[in-house]
Amino acid sequence: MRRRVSESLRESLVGEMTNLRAFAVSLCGDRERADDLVQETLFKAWNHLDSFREGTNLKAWLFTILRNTYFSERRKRRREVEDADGSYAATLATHPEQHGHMEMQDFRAALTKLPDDQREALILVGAAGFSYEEAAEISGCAVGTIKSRVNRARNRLGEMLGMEETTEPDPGITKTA
Amino acid sequence: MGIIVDQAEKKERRRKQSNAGKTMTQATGNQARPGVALSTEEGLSPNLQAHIGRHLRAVFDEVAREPIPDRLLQLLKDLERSGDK
Repeated sequence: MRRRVSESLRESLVGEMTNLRAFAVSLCGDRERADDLVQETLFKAWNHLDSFREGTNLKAWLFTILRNTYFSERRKRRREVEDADGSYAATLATHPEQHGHMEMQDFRAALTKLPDDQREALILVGAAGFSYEEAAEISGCAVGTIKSRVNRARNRLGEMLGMEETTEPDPGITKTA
Repeated sequence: MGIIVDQAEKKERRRKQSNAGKTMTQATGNQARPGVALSTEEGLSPNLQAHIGRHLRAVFDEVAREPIPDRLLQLLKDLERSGDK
């Protein structure tokens, strides 16, 4: 059934894998799980390559598969385990490989505390380089929804990191990296 | 004389400011001091938004710069070898 994968498409797939991993890790906060997600995404993508039109946005297509996989898994898991959030946040906050200084660790920890949909929107627009429109398509929602998620995410992060406009900025946090 | 010029200058400055909406201009320079947040209707100031953006990209790029794990490369090879499904 599956058509032969062209060399260029294969190369593009490999080329997107680093971004895909970065998305997965930022989204789920756990490298091990992120690689499982990427693996599953790759597998699904490969088996549905005939539904992908070459020349269209491969990156967005892959990101869509990955986030759908993540969210459906998460829904399943949430039914099974009550506090998926708590355990998940803990794994990320204490990841030994993440040697970065306090500021980055605080930021990572805060990121995990965001609601899933807000974190997703923020990463897509703020780090992965998608437009609001592309992010909306990936997440399957309206552009306005993405915008408000991004705004709420930023505000929440600002609050959590003590960066509210009204408070005295913490010198450790305001210092740029 | 000096006072009149001063006032005219102030007036001009006010006009410029109102033209520029709510953005503020430091009379002493066109650079906002770092760490001083400017409020916008959107919520966070541009400074803080930029700050969050930098951290976000740092978190993302840190992973994106890592080499692709072997097991993922292996999967690609396996998929290619598997031929028709």
